[in-house]
Amino acid sequence: MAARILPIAATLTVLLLGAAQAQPAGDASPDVVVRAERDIGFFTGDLIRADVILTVPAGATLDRASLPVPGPVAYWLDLRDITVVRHGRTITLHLIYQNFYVALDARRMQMPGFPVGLLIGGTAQAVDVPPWTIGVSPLREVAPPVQEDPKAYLQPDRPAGYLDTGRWWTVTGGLAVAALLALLPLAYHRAWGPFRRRPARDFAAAVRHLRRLGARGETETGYLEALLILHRALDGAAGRRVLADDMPAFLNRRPVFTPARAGLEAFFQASRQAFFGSAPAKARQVLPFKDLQVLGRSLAAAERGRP
Amino acid sequence: MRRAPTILFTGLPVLLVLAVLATAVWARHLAADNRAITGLKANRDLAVAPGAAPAVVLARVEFLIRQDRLTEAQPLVEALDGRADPRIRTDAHYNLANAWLRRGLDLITEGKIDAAGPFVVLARQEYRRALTLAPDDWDAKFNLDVASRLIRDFPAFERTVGDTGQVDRKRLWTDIPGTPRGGP
Repeated sequence: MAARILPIAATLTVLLLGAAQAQPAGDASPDVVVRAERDIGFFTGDLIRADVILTVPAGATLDRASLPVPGPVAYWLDLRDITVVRHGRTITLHLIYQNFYVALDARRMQMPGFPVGLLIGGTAQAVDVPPWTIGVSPLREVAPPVQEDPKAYLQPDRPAGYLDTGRWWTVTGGLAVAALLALLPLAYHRAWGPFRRRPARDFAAAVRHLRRLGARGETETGYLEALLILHRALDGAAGRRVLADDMPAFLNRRPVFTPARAGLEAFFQASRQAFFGSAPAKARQVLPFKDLQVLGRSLAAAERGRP
Repeated sequence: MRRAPTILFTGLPVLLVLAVLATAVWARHLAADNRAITGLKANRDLAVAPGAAPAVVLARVEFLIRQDRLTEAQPLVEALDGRADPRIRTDAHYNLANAWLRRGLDLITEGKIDAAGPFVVLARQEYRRALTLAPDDWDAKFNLDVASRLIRDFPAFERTVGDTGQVDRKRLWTDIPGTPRGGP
């Protein structure tokens, strides 16, 4: 038995000696400073922020399990949050309390201190954070004006709000417009709807051209130009040159223009006289400019009628 | 590579149309919730699941408070905790606190001071929860002040009025006479 106790006693002695050697020197003892954001003018519900700054010996570590846990601290005080920041030998505890003391007059309340555990060279040491005081203030006068109904002292309820649908309808509308705009390149790409290639409207263009020409007043050169315009429109409609002799073949292929056969015959006759007979004046008698316009319009109308 | 423009030209409108459908469905969903809120504000007793949209639950709480059915409102307010945004939760706790306090004040006006006590304590708890959620809620601070002047906090009550401390509900109803059971 004695043989077993001896080694234990020896070990204890060594441990005790070691602990004695590990005692920190007096000048290296931890230093505690409490810095509060302000120490007066706290109403009920206000947050109280304070920083506890610990200056610890090099190599000392904070025992986090010793820190106060967020929750009620006193009947009038909650600890909401505690964060630890360490810079070298300085450990800062950022504390956020919430005051629930309902004061009747301005008075000072004591914020409770708490111990913080440090591990210095393998030895646990407690450092006391000292209590400090804050000034709490009343929110209302001690004797408010007398009300008939005590419920009139209360601030009113807050009505339940509605959900914001307007914003979502606006978003929906915006997206719908964007979708329609995004359809345009697709329709163009696929040649849908308005982007389907339209058959050329040669006579419609010719009629517009003739109208502009007529507005400038009737001259011989103007008349010749008008004949040429109709020739080009006919060529365009046929997809090839159309001369007087080609007319029956053209009407065969494009029967929609058949009702204008008489007009076309007069046109070719006038054209022959104007260009080959060198008698534009005579041609203007055969088919005056006005009739030329009428012919152009009837051809344009026939052109619109085709599928 | 030649298919790339086709995919782009087709994919973009398809995606946008899907987005339009999604937002339209969501807006209609919100509109349905708003109809429920309108109904509750018009005093129609519409059932609301505790998992419904927080705004609808808040409207239901408002309705129950108006009907003075506070014991039904309390669990709905607690159901909002942990899922609604803090603004709605604050309003719910604040309105419920006002309702408890009004009940307490009514009892005090009738001279039933003792019966009023538990309701004032409940009101103070709810104000405190509202202030925990919104420390700058001045209405809640003011009304907590009103409630606290009716019943002061004392260190002895520490565990019954803390934020997490719960009043023993059974003790609230000790004044209600039980069923007569006959004497010995």
